[in-house]
Amino acid sequence: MWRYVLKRLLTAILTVMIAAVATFVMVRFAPGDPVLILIGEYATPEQIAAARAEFGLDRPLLEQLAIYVWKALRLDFGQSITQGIPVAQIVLGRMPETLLLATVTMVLIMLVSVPLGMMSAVRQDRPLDRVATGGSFVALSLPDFWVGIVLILVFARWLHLLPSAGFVGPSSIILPAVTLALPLAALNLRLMRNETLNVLNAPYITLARARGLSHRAVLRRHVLRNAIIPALTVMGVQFGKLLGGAAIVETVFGWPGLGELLVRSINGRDYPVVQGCIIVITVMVVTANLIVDIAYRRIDPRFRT
Amino acid sequence: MTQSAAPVSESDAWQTRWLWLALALLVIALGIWFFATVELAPARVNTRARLLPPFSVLQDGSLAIFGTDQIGRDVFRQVIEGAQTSLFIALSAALISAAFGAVLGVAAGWIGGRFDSFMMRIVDVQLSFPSILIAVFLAAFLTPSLISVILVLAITRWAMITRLSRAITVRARKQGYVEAALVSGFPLWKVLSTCVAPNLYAPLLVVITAEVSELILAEAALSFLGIGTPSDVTSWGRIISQGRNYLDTAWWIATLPGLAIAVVVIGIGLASEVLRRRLTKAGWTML
Repeated sequence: MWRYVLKRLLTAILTVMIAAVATFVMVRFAPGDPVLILIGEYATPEQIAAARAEFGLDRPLLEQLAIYVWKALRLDFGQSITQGIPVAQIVLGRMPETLLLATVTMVLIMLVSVPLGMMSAVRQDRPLDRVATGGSFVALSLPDFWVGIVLILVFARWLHLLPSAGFVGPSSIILPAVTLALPLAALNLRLMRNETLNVLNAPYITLARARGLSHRAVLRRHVLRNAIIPALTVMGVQFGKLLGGAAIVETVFGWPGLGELLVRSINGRDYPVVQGCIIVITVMVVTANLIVDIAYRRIDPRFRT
Repeated sequence: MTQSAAPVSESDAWQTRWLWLALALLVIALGIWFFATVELAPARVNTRARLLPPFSVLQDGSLAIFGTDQIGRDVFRQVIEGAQTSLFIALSAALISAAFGAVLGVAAGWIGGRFDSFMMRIVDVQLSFPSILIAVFLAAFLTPSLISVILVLAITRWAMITRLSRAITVRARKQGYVEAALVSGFPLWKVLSTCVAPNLYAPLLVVITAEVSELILAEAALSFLGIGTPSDVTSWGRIISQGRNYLDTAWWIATLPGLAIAVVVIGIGLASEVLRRRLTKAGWTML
């Protein structure tokens, strides 16, 4: 077990390092000189040179990389070009909103996909199953940003039931959470359905029925407990991805989270913030995966030695 | 693949129905594509026909079934032009990633050892991220152009194909016929191309089809964010993104093109599903 944890931990650290080096390299190749963006297009050569020295851009590339990694380890990503405050402050300030959205979305996904997936499997090929399976196929084929716009149009602009953008109160979270949950819930519904079908064919279910357990009890005690394990792991990974900021959906709803910040900084060519976002997002995704992998090993008895 | 649908007692009638539906949708999409390349002039600016609702008749008697946008361009024509852009990008990216991924996968599976574990580690790292996020990361640092979008999308997709090709190669290598061919003194390239590669065809066909529909969604999302296709190229994501500014006055600009995306993606997705079922039934192993 510890060997496994150690190995996964090393992979996780490697991933974050790759992300850090990749962002560093890509900023150097990016269009537009960040120094010119910062001090203006009409700066004199002396001013440009001074600014380069100030940001350490005149040093050898490897030295710059070393300094960058060293600072990043202490959450120092420099200053935002457009806002002039530390990147860490901006990026971490967006975390609560992203965390909130991810949590609400996850709850929605679980409430929809687990019961519906099980019911579809129990009533295989009956109308409910057809609708759920077909619906999940369609849900996976819709562009998420478009779903968001349609929801805004219907519930905010036409019916005036919910706010259309930003974070102006608890009801603001409903539309972005539904938009995010739709494709993920569709995926989990399929998984839950297939897994339930597999479990229903298992000998221990026949045994449980033979022992005279009611249909409900069999479903709750035996089917649900076994069928939910794969769905739980997938949901863990999905939670990590949601924590990494749902760039597109957050942008559509103007939700003040990490993803929206990332897209905004990309469009504003605010590279220090982009770097900070990417590294923080990477850490979130990697941590979630790590926890899921280790938890899975602990939960599934087949891994116990 | 994301969907691990268990092959559970579905009747043949069911399968045939899906097959027909998928074919119909594909034909519609291809028809629109063909029609677009042959018949239509590029969407023209027409200031007298600004923001007309769907099914308006324009001055020249033509019917704007999707309405017009803020500078009087027919939204339906833009959707058709967007279809070309979108299908071109998605197909190119899918083929590039498949070629690249398959070569790396076969190499990893055949060579084995350290190279194999190194490649698989990279694949694991990449697959632990949402592919759209990787695309956004990469696109952030590039000047938008058709080539850059195709490359960015191809980079987000090679890992899955590498993993698949590797697994198939590893399995094929253990087969008697590969060993026999090697012992008989056939050159390596001949063994790879005649004994190993054919095992890849069916699974890759299925995966590539599924990828195309996911790539269409990814391209639309990137263009929607303004980091996909350049501004002079009509694309679905861009039309929707511009339509967002006119939600109150002209709801059709942002919503109707989304239906086009959905129809094409559903059609290709169903086609991939049907292909998978058919080929599995015909004895191919999909892994």
